Amino acid sequence: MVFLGLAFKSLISRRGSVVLTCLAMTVSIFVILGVEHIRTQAKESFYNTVSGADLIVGARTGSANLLLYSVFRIGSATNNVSWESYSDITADDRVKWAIPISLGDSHKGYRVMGTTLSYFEHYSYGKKRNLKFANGKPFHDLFDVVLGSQVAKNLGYGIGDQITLAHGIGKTSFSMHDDKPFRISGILAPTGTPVDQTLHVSLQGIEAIHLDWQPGSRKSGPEVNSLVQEDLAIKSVTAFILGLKSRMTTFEVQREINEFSQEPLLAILPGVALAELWEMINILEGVLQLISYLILFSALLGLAAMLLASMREREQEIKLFRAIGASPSFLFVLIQVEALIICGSSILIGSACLLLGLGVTKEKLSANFGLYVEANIFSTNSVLLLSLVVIATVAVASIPSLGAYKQARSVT
Amino acid sequence: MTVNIENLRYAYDKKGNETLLDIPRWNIAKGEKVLLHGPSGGGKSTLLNLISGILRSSEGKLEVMGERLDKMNERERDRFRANNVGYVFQSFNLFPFLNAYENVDLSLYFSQDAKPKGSKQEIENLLSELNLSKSDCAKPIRKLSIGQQQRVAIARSLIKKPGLLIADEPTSSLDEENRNQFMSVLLDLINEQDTTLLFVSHDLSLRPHFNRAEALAGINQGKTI
Repeated sequence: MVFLGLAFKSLISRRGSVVLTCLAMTVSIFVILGVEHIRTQAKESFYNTVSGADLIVGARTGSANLLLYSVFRIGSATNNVSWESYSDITADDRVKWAIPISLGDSHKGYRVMGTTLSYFEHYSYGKKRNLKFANGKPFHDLFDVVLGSQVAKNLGYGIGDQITLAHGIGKTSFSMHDDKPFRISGILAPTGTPVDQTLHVSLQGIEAIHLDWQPGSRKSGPEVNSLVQEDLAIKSVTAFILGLKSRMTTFEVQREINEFSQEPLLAILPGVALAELWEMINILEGVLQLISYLILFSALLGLAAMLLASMREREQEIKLFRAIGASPSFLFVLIQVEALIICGSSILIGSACLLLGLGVTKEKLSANFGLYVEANIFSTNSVLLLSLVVIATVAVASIPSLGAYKQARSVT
Repeated sequence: MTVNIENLRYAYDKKGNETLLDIPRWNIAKGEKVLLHGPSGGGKSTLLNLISGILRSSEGKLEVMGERLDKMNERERDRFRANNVGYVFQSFNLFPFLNAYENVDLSLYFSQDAKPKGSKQEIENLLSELNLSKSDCAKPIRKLSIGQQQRVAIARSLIKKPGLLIADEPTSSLDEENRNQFMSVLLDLINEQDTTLLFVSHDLSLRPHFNRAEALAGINQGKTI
């Protein structure tokens, strides 16, 4: 207590330089914790996006691109997969289930995905968790839509509300499917994946809104009431996810799809593609980590320099401490405690700022970057990292502490 | 005997070539008040640091209050000083980031042996005896006058009732009125506690307050730097 009280009051008396040092440490701890938190959260969220799927199939392109547009709803497909090819492949005995994905439309910046009821039954994320409904039920009518949790929350929609889809994926669109509004039939529970940012409609619904369209613009076509089943025949899908009866057949089916004769297709293993994609980001992750460590190192050096510079002005103070019976070790510990108070305050302020920052930007990160970040920054990793910061502080503060120790021993 | 020195030598370098102090024999009796004077650089502060145990002698016998400081290690000397020796300097007698009360209390923290129960009351009584009001005691040190600061310094050094009080030119920065007030308060408390006083000053007009006055040159055969 004596050490804490003395160190605290001593720091207060030198508040100018102490506040600046504390600020530098706070910024570095904010950066190092932020980078670490976003890195681990992004990785977790990334790997949790899809699970239980054996293959993802789309038109031939790069595996990263297929993964990005089919799972993360980022970018666009190079081509569609014909319904015939989809039907042929999913009819295979080795296929247990299939989820078709049809993309291309949007609603106020959120992607619309055409699919079947199989999606709600088989799509899983995280540790094989299935989709659950927070409200309502899957689409059963042609113009029913199921919203991801974030879409409903951010746009303030509820069950029974009517919405209009837009042609294309731009945030602002002048081509609206406003003649065929959709009714919200269900809202999914939060998943922390791109599902939360997606509007789900039936494949027939997608076909229906495009019946009176030709690429890029509307032309005259049948009215909603006059639609017949033949009009709604599915012609193509953007991609599809496959679940196989036996994992043993995965490579075999993958090879056959990649050598499919009717059209050029690509089948990817989601786990492998996710790992490959993460590897590409890994370099950036490493650079960010390195930068944050360098920032911390420079802040620690600043702390040591501030304490070391104060030694000269504290020469008389050290002499007085010695005169009243303080040992050189007492002075060594006192300087260490001062450094630890600065470090501790910086950790508290830095963590608080990060918590606040994440709370404020959480929604924007998920809406703009598909990054689902938990506001809770305290994990084993972050505690370990903060422990390392404390150890580094003790190590760096040893320089001025030893200075005080030596000065105390050579008082004349 | 409070201080007993025999063949004391102190040199700055380890080889002992630069001998600053070489005192064949010097004593201060218990309760005695000694004024030590001499030119700057003569080794007065070094002698005080040796007697208080901050420095260790190179050779010879140095006994303070019956304890052989020359035989003690640094930790033992620190403990001895905290419990038995009070120290007042010319300036910077107090920690500027603590108030008067905290400064006195900190001195007691290091002299655990001397810390009596109910020391809070004792600190308040002593500060009050030195004409320091409660509000003055709660003020930051920088807000007190030089005279008040020196009185807090006396309280800080005498609260643990040391056997020996070392004062290193404590009146140099005081005007005549404050100096007389300081000496009066100090000597009253010294007499009350039966504390031995070793007082260093250039000001020989203070001579009447002491049992004897000694010039360092008279007892030291070492080299003046």
